[in-house]
Amino acid sequence: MNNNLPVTLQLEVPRYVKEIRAFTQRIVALVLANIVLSSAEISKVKMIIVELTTNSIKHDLGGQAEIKLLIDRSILTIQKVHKGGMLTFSSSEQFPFNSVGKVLGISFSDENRHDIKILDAYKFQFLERTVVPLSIADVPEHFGLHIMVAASDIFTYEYCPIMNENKFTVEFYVGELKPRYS
Amino acid sequence: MNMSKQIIDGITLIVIEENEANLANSEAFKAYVKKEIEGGDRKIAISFENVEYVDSSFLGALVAILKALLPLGGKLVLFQINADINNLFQLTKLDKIFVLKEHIEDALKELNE
Repeated sequence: MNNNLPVTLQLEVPRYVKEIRAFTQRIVALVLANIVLSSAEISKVKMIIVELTTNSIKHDLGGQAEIKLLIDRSILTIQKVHKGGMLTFSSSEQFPFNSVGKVLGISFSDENRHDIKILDAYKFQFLERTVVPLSIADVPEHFGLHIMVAASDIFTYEYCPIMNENKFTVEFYVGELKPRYS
Repeated sequence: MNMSKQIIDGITLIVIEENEANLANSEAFKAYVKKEIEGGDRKIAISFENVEYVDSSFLGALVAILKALLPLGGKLVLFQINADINNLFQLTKLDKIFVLKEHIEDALKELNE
């Protein structure tokens, strides 16, 4: 355990899929050089890095995207930042939101649906969905955001219209400190 | 995508010969296995012995394969999955939908039942 926490690190997201494995291993090594994680926690951190990075490459964000790490004694924050247009989705409300605190259903496609909690005009938290598929035909084929939600303690999206910047932020509580937000 | 295939007692055994099962190879893998299903294969075992990690794209491909196979009365078993991949299946609750086995013997036994 590093006694000089918190530590902040910034890394450029890889441009190619073949770089994801090494990038993930590098981040895990950086985290473990500062705090102690269980094997289950390491597994979740790997999933988060893989999905954040894959999302960047899939949507061709390449070198414009960065991962910022804030490593502290009991909280690990992993943030992906990239310039560009805001996230688009279908829902009854759009950015800028008015109903702070409201839980809203959004969808990126027919089978890529999520529940969110509005935190600000341009910020929301992804919530865990408890919908149980009735048959195999109802099982979705898009898991990226679901993995992020399930592997983290808090997963938020924020758009800054002034900076034209998108932030996906994962907060991951380490060890005994495991609060769950509703 | 690098993979090998053999038939053992009517069971199609596919071994993924890659360390990474991800966005780069998920579509090719899905197309390959679906072609096997179209060709009549109904009992399929997939080995993850060489695979270090699976991403969401590959999970989606596995779901698509299962969706193609189950309505035809087929069975799919995944085996030799490492701890990280097993955690991913549990986290996404896909461990309730897929049959996951530790060893090839367990996978073959499951498909022969």
